[in-house]
Amino acid sequence: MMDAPKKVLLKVRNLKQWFPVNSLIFEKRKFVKAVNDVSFDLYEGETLGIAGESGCGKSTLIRTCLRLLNPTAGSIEYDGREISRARQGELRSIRKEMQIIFQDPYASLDGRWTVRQLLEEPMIVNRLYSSKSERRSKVSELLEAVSISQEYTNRYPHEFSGGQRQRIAIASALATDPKLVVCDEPVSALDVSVRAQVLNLLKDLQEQRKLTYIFVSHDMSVIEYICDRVAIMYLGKIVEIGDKKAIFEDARHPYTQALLSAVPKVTGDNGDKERIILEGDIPSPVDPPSGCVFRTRCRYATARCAEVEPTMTDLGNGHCVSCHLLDKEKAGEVAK
Amino acid sequence: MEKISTFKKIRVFIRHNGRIIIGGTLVLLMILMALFAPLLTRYDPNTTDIRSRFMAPCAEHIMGTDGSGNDLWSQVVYGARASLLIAFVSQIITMAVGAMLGLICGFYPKVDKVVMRILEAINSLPTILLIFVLGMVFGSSYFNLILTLVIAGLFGPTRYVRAQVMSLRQKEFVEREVAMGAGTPRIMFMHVLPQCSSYLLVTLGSGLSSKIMSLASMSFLGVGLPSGVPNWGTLISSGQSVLMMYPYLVFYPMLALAITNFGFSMLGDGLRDLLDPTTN
Repeated sequence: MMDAPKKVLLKVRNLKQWFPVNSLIFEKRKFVKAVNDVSFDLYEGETLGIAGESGCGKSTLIRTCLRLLNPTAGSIEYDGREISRARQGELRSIRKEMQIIFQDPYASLDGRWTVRQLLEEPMIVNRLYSSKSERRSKVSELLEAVSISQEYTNRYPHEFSGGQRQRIAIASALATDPKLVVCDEPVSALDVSVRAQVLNLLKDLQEQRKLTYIFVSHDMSVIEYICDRVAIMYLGKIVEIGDKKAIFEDARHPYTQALLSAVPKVTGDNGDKERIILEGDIPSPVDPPSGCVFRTRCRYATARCAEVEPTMTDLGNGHCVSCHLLDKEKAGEVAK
Repeated sequence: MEKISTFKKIRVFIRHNGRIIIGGTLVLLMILMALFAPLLTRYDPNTTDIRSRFMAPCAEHIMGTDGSGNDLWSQVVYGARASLLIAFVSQIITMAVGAMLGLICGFYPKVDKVVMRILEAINSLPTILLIFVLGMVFGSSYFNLILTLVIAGLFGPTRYVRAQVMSLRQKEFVEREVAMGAGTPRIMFMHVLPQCSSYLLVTLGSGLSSKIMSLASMSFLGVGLPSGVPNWGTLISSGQSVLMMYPYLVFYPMLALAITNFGFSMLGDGLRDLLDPTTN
């Protein structure tokens, strides 16, 4: 951790996002608990990674934080302002400070618009630059920042490759000079060869423009490369959160350990590290297991895990884990 | 050198916009025909001449005459006026109102529940019955005929645009607009409506001919245009009764209708491709 106390940019407390499931008239109303009681802090200038398998609620969580969805319960505080209940009109002034980059650059750019129109759109929507020439110079500045040639301003998205499109999407997200950029698996849809290029671009832009990122990915190696802190999600809950170092070197939650053991390593000594293979599927978020949500697939699960829901335990340095087994010993040692 | 390049430019233009040129020419011809009807024929479309009933096409009557001795060519030429005017205006209004309703229904679920139930109720009636009832209620002025045709045809475009909105709202480029702070009207008209324009342009031609035929059904049932006003639909439906003996009475008005339909379809297709950057 840094010496000076860092400023909290986004403060999320007990956030819930439940979607009603269609049910028969006499049945009790059921909900998909996509995000269930999530709390975290995002510090200014850092990159917070959110990792977890498909369907664990990563995308829903960030969409709720950006108020693309209306939260069921809980609070979201952006830069000291409570936005979880704000109306769309009140959100307008905040929207330009938080932008999003989507996974699929083929779906996130309107194919009928030219690059210039796509990049000017956020400025026009937020009434940022009054004159055409100001907007034009901003467009060329953005294109230069993502190293797309100025000649391409009048081209359409379908004329570009996936990596170029994603860079255009990044440029358009930066058009309003945001503080917070949420990246929803920005490299998952890209070729491995251009992944590094886009990731490095994101890193450079963060340095130049003092950006704060929330970076969602299911790929632990990408997370390790770009993030300062990491939150691990499972079935709508954050099960472990902490500095990158703490998570990658001293993972305490059995799920984090399993997730990390699935990352292929090119060290040559992979024989001594045991691979943890999780059995079964992720349970339905409509009926999450009682007690600890992970207990159905956890190899250390005890009777207590089914009865009592674990709470977040702070291990110091902001490393928090939600697991019963920590009370006695390190989870890894219980198995022996 | 200069000349060749101009020639080449024209050729490239024709290759890219051939459909617009063909469609536009046909549509223009039909409109000119309607406008200059008196100059194109020396017969009044409504003079009964018993001596010349059911004449085959000849030099005197290039399309022949019908059962009351009226010149068919003059009827086709004059018929273009009412047919084209009512069909075109009602089709354009149908598409505009349908698209607006579809957009609103897609974005506002509360309005959607009310509007769609009303439209479904209207659509559950057989079209012919609906047109008959509306025609009876409204009467047969041009304005009321257009109103009838619009109400009867509203369900199709509304449902299509609404479905498009519902699927497009899930798309990331729309989500991105919301995230950057764009209001609903901007998303509606700048992003969603252009995506529906291809459907609307393509259905322009077929919608038009179905409107002309609906107008004919109305006239046939006595709730459409008054009997003195020539129009293609009425020509076709009255020619049907003697189709086996005098097929040209149906053939020529049908030909006019087909050319119009073809012209508008080509024009719509060409415009769609011109407006959609992904097909260039």
